[in-house]
Amino acid sequence: MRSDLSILEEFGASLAPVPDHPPAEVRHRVMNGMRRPARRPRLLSRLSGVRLAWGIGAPAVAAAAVAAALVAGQLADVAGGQPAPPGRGTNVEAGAGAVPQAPPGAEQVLLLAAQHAAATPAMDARPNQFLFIDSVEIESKINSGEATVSGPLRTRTWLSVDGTRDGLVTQEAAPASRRSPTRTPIDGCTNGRQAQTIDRPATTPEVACTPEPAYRPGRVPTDSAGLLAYVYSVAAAEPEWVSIGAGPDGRPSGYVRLSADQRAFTEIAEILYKNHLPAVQEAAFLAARRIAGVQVRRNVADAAGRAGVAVTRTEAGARQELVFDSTSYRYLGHNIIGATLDLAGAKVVRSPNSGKGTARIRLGPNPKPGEVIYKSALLGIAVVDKAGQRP
Amino acid sequence: MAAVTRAAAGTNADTDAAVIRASLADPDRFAPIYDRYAAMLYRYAYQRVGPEIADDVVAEAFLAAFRGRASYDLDRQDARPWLFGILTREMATHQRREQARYRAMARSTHETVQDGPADQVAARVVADAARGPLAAALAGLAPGDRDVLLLVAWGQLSYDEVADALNIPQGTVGSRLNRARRKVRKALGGFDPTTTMEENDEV
Repeated sequence: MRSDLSILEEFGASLAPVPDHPPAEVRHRVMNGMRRPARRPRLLSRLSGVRLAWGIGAPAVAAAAVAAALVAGQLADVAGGQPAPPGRGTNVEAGAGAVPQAPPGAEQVLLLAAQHAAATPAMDARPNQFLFIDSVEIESKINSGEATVSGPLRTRTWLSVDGTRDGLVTQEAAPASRRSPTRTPIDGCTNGRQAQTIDRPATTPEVACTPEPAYRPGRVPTDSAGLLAYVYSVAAAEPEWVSIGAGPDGRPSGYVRLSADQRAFTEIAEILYKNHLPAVQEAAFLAARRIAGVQVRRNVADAAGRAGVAVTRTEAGARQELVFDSTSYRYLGHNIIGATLDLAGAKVVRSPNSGKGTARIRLGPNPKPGEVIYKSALLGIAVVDKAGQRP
Repeated sequence: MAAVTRAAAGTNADTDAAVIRASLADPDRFAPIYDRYAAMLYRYAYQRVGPEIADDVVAEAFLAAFRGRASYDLDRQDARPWLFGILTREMATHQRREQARYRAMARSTHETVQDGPADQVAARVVADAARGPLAAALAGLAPGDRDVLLLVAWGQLSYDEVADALNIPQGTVGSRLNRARRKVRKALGGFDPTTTMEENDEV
């Protein structure tokens, strides 16, 4: 007896592929895709950078002057983008002992940082050159449920000035490991095509792309309103969920979705790493002022051990910190620190929507408040001719 | 916490659920899921949407599974129904292509050239005779009905597993399957499958 189902089965057999396995290329693609977060290559999103040392001189004076203007209640002047004359800084210093002044809040820190960026002269950079970013990173890793902190590890990054050329990241291994530095190529967006996983150009297929310049205007707007809209559009398009700890069986017991504000804030940290054009950095600081819930935090250490003042936003058990020098308001780096996980009013879902966005999953306990999750501090930037070349 | 996780993983080291659980913390450990099921999923996708896009569909399905692994119900040791469900959703975007493919088969059935070892060719005689009507019937099925029918006939899933894969009640699986099979039988129409089979036996 042959049923309709078995005839259908035979028909199916005649349609089956002859080599029963998919081509090896498919496996490569899946394995590489698994390493790649849906949003951005992890490598890039983790790194962050800051303003270079040579910029300190003049802008430091301007920043002090802006602080004076703020204290004197002349915020409007400052917001208008007019750096105060350098002379006023000394006046305030003279009077500081007599009149106790409230230290600047988050908005003011960001304003001062924007002023510093605006006063930083742009370097000469040709489209075919590279932005060299010298930094150190600290990262905590979970192994069998236990967190270990690695670093600070010296990290050197070369990003294409116009985004179309292949870059490079090197990271030194911990001295105790005796390993050689890791070298990771970064595929540029050449002729509108780029490896699907940009830090694995050899094994992933090319896809259409828009260049992301490291030191030119590009995808990211250079005005604060435009940049603010941009980061919120990214937040809407690429949501992020965070696991809220594990149950007794080790599986995540639930997830919360980061608010648009928190996603926008972290996206600003990413922009600060990816594009060092002073106009972009200025716009990023000004845009961050408009994000609800930002706070100021003093005596924060960056990955290089430098103390500074941070503008922070805390959500879902993590405090994102943008760290600034507390006198010049130069941007020093980006920290992610464990914070109390407050689920009051939070909507906890059993599983994240897998349709779009990313989920950060952590087995075992969440980081304790104050524990370092990640830190990156910039030591300097420069323009060089080739990826791998030191200034 | 870590000790509990290790203990649980130790007892079920080989189940899909254990692999997926381990992959939550360490994404690289998801690879065995691909190695176990790639051939199965590839075959099914190839049958339905054809060689041109089977690669893409399978790769996308595995990546979707990877991204959605946190929502996998770890009480289910066997990931096969879950993966077929994801693959089905990936293929849903290629419905028109799939239908066009069946329609083309229905038209071109007499031009089909069979080559290969004689016994294999012989074994396909029945299917060949039925090829045109079957392809036409598949093209005409409602997408949900086609999914159920082909998961059973080509994916070799049980009713329970189909219900799991498509996240529909078992009763719905039964009614969709019955509806689809009625249409297939009607399409096979003129000839009696039993008779045809006997003829085939004599070949």
